[in-house]
This record gives sequence, structure tokens and C-alpha cells, in this order.
Amino acid sequence: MLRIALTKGRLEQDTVRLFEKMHYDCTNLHEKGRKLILSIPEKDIEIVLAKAADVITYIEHGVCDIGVVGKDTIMENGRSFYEVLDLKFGICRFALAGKKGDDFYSGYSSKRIATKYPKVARDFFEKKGMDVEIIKIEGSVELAPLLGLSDAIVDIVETGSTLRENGLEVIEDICPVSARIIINIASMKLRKNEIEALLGDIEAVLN
Amino acid sequence: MARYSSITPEGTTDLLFKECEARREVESKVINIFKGRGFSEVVTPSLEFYDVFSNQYNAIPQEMMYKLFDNKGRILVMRPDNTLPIARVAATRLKSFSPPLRLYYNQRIFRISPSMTGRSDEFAQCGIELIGISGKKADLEVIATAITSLKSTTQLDFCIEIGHVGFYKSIIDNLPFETQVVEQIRGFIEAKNYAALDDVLKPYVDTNPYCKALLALPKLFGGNEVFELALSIAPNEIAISTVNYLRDLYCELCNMGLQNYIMIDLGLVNQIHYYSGMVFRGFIQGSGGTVLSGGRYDELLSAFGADMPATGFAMNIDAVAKTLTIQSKKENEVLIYYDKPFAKAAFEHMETLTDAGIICEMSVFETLEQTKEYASLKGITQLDIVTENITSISL
Repeated sequence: MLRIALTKGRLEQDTVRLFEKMHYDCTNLHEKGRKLILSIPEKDIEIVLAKAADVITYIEHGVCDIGVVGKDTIMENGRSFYEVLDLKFGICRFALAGKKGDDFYSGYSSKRIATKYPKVARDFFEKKGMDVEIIKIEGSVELAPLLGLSDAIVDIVETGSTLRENGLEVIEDICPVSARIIINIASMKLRKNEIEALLGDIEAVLN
Repeated sequence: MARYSSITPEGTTDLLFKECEARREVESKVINIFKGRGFSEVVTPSLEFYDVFSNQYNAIPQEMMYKLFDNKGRILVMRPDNTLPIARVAATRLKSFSPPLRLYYNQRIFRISPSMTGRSDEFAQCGIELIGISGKKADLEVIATAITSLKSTTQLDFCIEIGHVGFYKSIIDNLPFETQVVEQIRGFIEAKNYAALDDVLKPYVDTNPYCKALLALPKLFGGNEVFELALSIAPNEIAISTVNYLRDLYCELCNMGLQNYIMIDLGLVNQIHYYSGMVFRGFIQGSGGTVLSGGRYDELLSAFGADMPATGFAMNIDAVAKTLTIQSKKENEVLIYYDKPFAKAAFEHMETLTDAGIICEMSVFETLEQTKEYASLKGITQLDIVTENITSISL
């Protein structure tokens, strides 16, 4: 049996739609109630619903074989697993944003960055050779520059409307983000046929 | 009570009873295999100078090493890897021995794992290093020994995947990418991230056979069929000879009846600075991660001043031990109770039994009543009472 971990919420819905295109019976997934482990009838597959970062943990430890998770979570938490497929949904991007009209790169004082993704922010500025101070914020990162806590933010941007409504703008795009299929390293080798068949089916409906 | 007096540091744990038995069983089986094949044990210190692990071939980032200082202020580390110290010994004290050197070790390594991820910081490792010989026979012996080691220690399905860093190196060395891009590409191949690899290489694929080969690399895993595919995209002589080398190894292992345990993965490109030739790692069904890894590292010993080729592998003992189920042996155990004047006779009786391989516990209780209570608590089924004579009771 293959165990697939899905990121709860929007990625989960997108993945269920994908499964339906593959003619999987998703009744259990629609009527899940509070259940966290669900089966797909007539397929030897079990679906586990988890928070994004936990999907990665379950895959790394091999308690789930396959995971659907955003590239944002992989960049922030990723360590060792195979990242085999871009599902091309859940599309957004990482960006550096600040107050409209401010010149972020001016001046010599070290900058302060507020973010929910400290690793992504650190990697981004490391590549630029810029030494910045990073402050971890749990939600509504946009507040930090508005309240004067930080010079800019590193966050997920989809349409940019939240930024605009709060007088912020994108300074620089960091990288695009979309949902990915990740696979436990041992599972990929020990259950090659099952996994390749499933990936083949997914690719067939994606294209 | 001091704040941390009753817990162990994160990443460490106490092993009790069956957990120890499982570890020792795996250890002893594997060591017997090593000894039987002419390998001799080496024990190196748990503390080493940081410099041993800071050469260009080392793949362990410094933030993963436990560090401390000696009384002269020099940096020491808790041994984070077994191969480097063994290479140090081979390149120094064993330099004048005529090859091959067959060495094995059974000792722990320490690495700082990311916090709260359920990973250990302390690993029990058993492994071999076959030093001083390059070529197929040595590689074959090491892989075959790895397979035997897993076969004799786990009942579950397992697989060893074999690759060769030469294939990747022969391609990447012919591309003009900058170091950063190369590292990025290597990461994508290691992660089988087809999509990202595609994005980086797409602009060159049509014109550059090296890029085309790189792009196919992560998909080159599986059985015998991989070789044909690999040869069809191999862009130069080195790549071709690498594939042929690997195919020979694979065929030999198949001849030995091991085809069910092995597969090929040419996309195995981790620790690329450490390894120089064939590489392999092992998985056990349900273990989730690597339980064994190894390969050829012909350049590593030069970091210690000796130009010697070498090949070897290490097994993560606890990862294998977790797959064992140890049977309780309590049913064979005997509890011995004696009245005060008969201590000598009781201990003599105990020695007779233990010499015959029976596990004995001496009752430390003053009364027979308490002794029986204890036996039932521990599930011991035989009680021997020593007075003028010995009476055995089944409980």
C-alpha cells in the first residue's frame, strides 16, 4: 500500500481534483469529517492529511511514501527526499517587499527583514552577500514594515493585492512557488514500480 | 534537583534490555562476517582534532560536529565519521604495510542533527575499509560483504543501490558552469528534481550532448536496462568506461545470485567530494532512510599524506536493529534461593548452570515467599532451592 500525505487546505482540494481526473474514487476525501487518514477505494492507496511542514517530516521518516507540498515549505524545511514532479498548481512566488516608494538598498545601515520563512530569507540575502537581521513573524508579516519593526518583508505573494492595500510593493521577486510531489528515498527504490506507475498517471492528466 | 539532571541531551537516548540485545546481535553478526573475511579491528579515539575532518574531501559541515577544546586551546571534535580517522591511521601508522589493508571498526559517531526532527545525534556504526587496492575485485568484495551483512541481520526486504560518481563527473567537468550553478545542478540530480533540472538545462539541451546527458541522469535508475540507456547518452570515453565498469560489477553480483538485492542509480551524486568511484547505499523496507552506505574514495588518503586508493562501507547498526524482533528468553531463566548456611553450595550450583549456558539469578530475598513473588513478577518459571540438597520447582 502507498501512503500519500497531502497538505491540508487548498493544495488538498487541488490534489483531490487531480485524483478525480485520474478517475480515483474520492468520496471518502469529500466526506472526510474529522478523519485524518482516508482510503481510496479499489486503489491500494491511503491518504493522510497534514500541515505542510509535517508532510515533509512524514516523508523524510518514511512513514508516508509520497507527499504533496508547496515549494515554499520545501525551501524552508527541506532536507532529504526526492522532489520529482511540479504539479503546476498552488502557484505563487516568494518576493521581497517594502513600503511603497522606499529605496530598500540605499544607506549603509544593516537591514531588518520580517518573515515567516527565515531560512528562505537568509538564503536569499546570503546569495546577495548582504548581512541582514531576520525577525520571525507568525502571521500578517505586512504589519512589520508598517509598524516600523522592519525595513522589508520576505513573503509569499500571489496577486499582490494584500501588499497594495497596505501601501507595500514588491522590491524584488525571489523565486516562483508551486505544489510539488516529494518521495521518500527508500520508498522510491523499494517500490519503484508502484510509484512510477502512479507518477505516470499523474503526468498523463497534468499534460 | 538540577534542571537537566533527569533527562538526556536531545538526539541521545538510553538503550534498555531488548534494545541493547538487538544492537549487540546485529553488531556481533556483522563483525563475525568481517572477521571471517580477514578484516582486523581498529579502534580510534572518540575525540579527534577538528583538522582531521576539515580537509577538502570531507562532506560533514562544521555545524554538524560537536566541538570542544583541549587544554592548549586546540579545537577537538567528537568523532563525526569513521572513515576519516581510519584513513588517518592507514596513512600514518600503517603506511608501510603492504596492501591490501583490511580494517573494520565498531564504534559510534556523533553528529548534530536538526533540532526536533526525531533524528539521533549518536550513531552506532560497523564498517569495513579495504585500503591500498584499486579496481573491481576490491569494489566487488565490499558490495558483496555489505549485502551479506544485511542478509544476515534483517528478515525484511532490502535493496542496495549502486552508482558511480565518475559518470556525473565526466559530464559536469566538461560544462562551463560556475561552481554555484554546478552545486545547484548536483542538488537537483540528487533530489531527482526533474522539473528544476529541466529549467536550468533546457536552453542548452539541443546543442550540448553533455547537458542532454545530465538531464537524463536522475532517471537512470533501476535494473539491467539502465546500462543501455546510460551508454546511449554517454557523451565521452570516461562516461562509457564508467558505465561498463558498473555493468561488470552488476553482472558479477548477479552471477553470485544477488540480483534481487541490487539496483543501479547513476543519479547517486551525494558526497561527491568524498567519493571518487562506485558508490552505494542500502535500504530496508520500512526503515525510511539509508541503513548502510559506502563507496570508493581514492583521493581521501592523500589528505593525510598517503596516496592510497580505498573502498569501504558503514552500516548504521541501530537502524538495522530496529527492524529486528528480539524474542524474550525469560522461559529458560532459573532463580536460585538458598538458606543462609548454603551460600557456597548455591553459588556452585549457579556456576554449574551458567557453564551449561542457562541464565541464573540468585535470589537476594530473605524468605522463600518473597522469592516466589519476585519470580512471578519477572516471569521466571523455574526456582531452585538449595539446602542440603537441591529442589527444583516449576512455577
